[in-house]
This record gives sequence, C-alpha cells and structure tokens, in this order.
Amino acid sequence: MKKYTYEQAMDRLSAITEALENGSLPLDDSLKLYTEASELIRFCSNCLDNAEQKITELSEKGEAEDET
Amino acid sequence: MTVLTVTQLNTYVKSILDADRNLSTVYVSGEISNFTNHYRTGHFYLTLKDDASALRAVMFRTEASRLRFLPENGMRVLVRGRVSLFPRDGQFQMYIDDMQPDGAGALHVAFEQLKKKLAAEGLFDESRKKPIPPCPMRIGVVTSATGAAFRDICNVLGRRFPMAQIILAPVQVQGASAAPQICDAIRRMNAKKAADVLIVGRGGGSVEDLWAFNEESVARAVAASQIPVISAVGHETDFTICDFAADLRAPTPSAAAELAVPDSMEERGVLLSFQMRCKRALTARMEHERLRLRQASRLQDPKRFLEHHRLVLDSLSDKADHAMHRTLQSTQNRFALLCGKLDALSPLKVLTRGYAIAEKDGTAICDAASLCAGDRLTLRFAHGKADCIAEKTEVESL
Repeated sequence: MKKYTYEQAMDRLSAITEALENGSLPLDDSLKLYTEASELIRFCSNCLDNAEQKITELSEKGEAEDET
Repeated sequence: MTVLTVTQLNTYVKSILDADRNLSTVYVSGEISNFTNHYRTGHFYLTLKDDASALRAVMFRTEASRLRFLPENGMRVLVRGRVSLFPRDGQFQMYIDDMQPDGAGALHVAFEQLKKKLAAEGLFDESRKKPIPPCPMRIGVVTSATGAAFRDICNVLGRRFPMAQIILAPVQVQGASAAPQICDAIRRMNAKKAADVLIVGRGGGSVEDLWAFNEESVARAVAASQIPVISAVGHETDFTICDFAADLRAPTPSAAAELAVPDSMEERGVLLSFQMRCKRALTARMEHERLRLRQASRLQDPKRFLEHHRLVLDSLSDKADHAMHRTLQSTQNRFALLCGKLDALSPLKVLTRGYAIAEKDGTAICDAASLCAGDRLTLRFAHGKADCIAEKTEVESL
C-alpha cells in the first residue's frame, strides 16, 4: 500500500467506496480496489487505536520542532 | 512708549498663557468639527465647540497615535491638554494630550469604528470565509504557552482526536507586544504551511486584556491567512474583531478545539460504514458477474447447447409416441365394437339358430310365387347346403 496519512487514507477510502458502488469498473480492478480498501480500513483503525498526542512548538524561523 | 513687533507681542502673550498654572492642565468637553487628520505629519487639527463658542485645538502625532479610536466630526469628546498660543498665527489654541469619547468608552468606540471600517472593506464577508478542513492532522495554536486556554485546547484535542499533531506558536496575549506577536505567528504558520487549521485566541479577561484581538493588524493577519482560522477569544459573551475576521468563531478555546477536529468515535463509525458499503458493493458485483457467466457459458458451449435441444427433442418425441399409441388404442376399440355389431346383424348368425336360405340361381327367394313346381333350388344352412326340387307351390293370399 502507498504511504498515506490518515486523512489521505480516508479520502482514498471514500473514493474507492464510490467507485465500487458505481460498478462500472472491470471486475479485476474492483477486486484489487476491494483489497486496497481492506488495507486502508485496517490502517485507519490502527491510527485511531494507537494515536498519541504530539505537541511541537513553531520555531522563531517558522519551522516546527519537536518539544514533547 | 515702547513699540513691539508682532512676534514680540505674540511671544509675550504666549509666555503669560504658558505661565498660568490653571491653563497648564485643563479638561474640556465639546463637539468636534473641522477635523483634519494630516496625512503627512499624523497630527490632528480640529475645532471644539459648544452652543455658543469654538476653540481651536491640535493633537500632535505622538499623542494622536495612542488613541484607539479615530475622532470624527460631530463626536462629543472630553479632552485633556494645555492652552497656549501659536505665535505665527497669533492664535490661541488647545494642545491635546488625551481624548475620550463623551459617554461611550474609548475602547467601545474604537471597536465599533474598526468593525465598521473592516466590514465596509469586505474583510468579514461570508464569501471570504474558508471552510474548516473536516479532518485536519496538524492544529496550529496561536496563544500563550502558559495560559489555561492552551491547556484546555490540548485536553479537548487529546480526548477527541489524539492523532492530530499540535503546533504551538507561543505569543503574549495581552500588552503592547501581543498584537505584533500574534500577527507574526500567523504569518510564520502560513509561510511554513505548518498547520491545516489555526486556533487563535486566549482565555477570558477584561476588555483591556482581550484588546490585542481587537487590533486592526491582528484582524488583517487573520483575514490574510491561507490556513483557515478559528477564533477563540475569552468567554462566550466576548466578541472581538478577530472573531469577525476569522473563518469560524468559537465561543471558547475548548469549543474551538471541538470544532477543529472530528471525534474518534465518529471516525470509527465512518470507517465501519465504508467497510459495509465496500462489502455490499462487491457482493452485488460478484452476483451480477456470476449471472452473466451462466448466461455466457450457455451460448459458448455447443455441447450444452445441443444437450438442451436434445432434451426438447426427446420430450417432443415422447409426446408423439404417446399420442400415436392413444389414437391406435381407441381405433382398435372402435373396430372391435363395430365387428361385434356387424356380427350380430350377419344372416349367417341366423342360420346357426336353424334357419336356412332358399336360393334360386344364386338369388335368395322371399316369395313362393317366384317358383314353379319342379324348379330346382338350393337350401343354404349354417354349415353346408342341399340341392332340392320344389314339388308344389302355394301362394298365400294377403
């Protein structure tokens, strides 16, 4: 699976769901998409389960730096 | 008699006015007219008047720049200053140190003026408002690092959506350096594209405490931000210019955090619905394909095609056999019946009961009149015949 952020994964998932529901793709592609959707769902669930709050501080020059 | 120059006289009168302790600090109330905001020097020139009299006045740039509101013609004000004379014009006038609106507070007037001005510019227009992203992963927070507001925001974000990263731009939120720091923080967040949404604000306080969020510079920085801004200043009842300029106003910092991110529980629900929809869509698809396959294979396999027709043929031929058999059966039955009937009518049958047929020259004789004595005739029995001679005939009369 491509490396996604949670947000991108949700967007992709939404697009795949619509494509599957549309039903006009070749079956082979539909099966591939379904596999991808399953992976995305697992990834997003993991994100929600294992999230830990991260706080950083914006440096004077404007770069985010780790603090805690 | 001493003759003075104009300058000498004016200077003398000025010195008397300047020496008068009563005139060194005076408070005057009046209505502003002939107001001029000198665009190059930044000095204010105006006339204060009441029903009967008028007084020339000037407010130099240093003092004028400290005012939070802009004086306007017709505005009733209370001014503090000293009275002196401008030697060049021989004009006595008031040099204003400070000015306050008479009635409403200066801050109130300043607030209303700035709000009106920025609204007229279209800075608060709904069409300018950017949507808050539904699922932001980086929350920029512009507030004091030590304030309760930041703690509240972290708590709410941690509870609702801990996945979102918090990027704090620590700033002073009150005092003279607050507004420039807030503006700078918003600009740096934008320059670095450091966040998906910004929360700009602070906890509750007095109107003076919250004033930085009523500054024009802050309002403009918020409006100019490419990153959507949620304004969260003070309590629910506090409205600031920053609120109007922001893309979304939150009543409190905690509420801003609620508005900024989705709830993890809701996200799980969304995930579940995606899962169900995908599964349903694929199942329906497979069913559809299976049906298509079944139809396609029937046409493509000649053996199965023939099989089908053979079955049809077999059943038709069975039907034909049956029909033929039935027809034959009923014909045979009818034949047997007719044979029986025919048999019953047969003259031979009568002969078996002892009757005999008399024939002459092969023709049955029904009347004795057709015979003469001595005629030869044949008697036919059920079995066999006998040749006879008629000895005498007797005709019965009717």
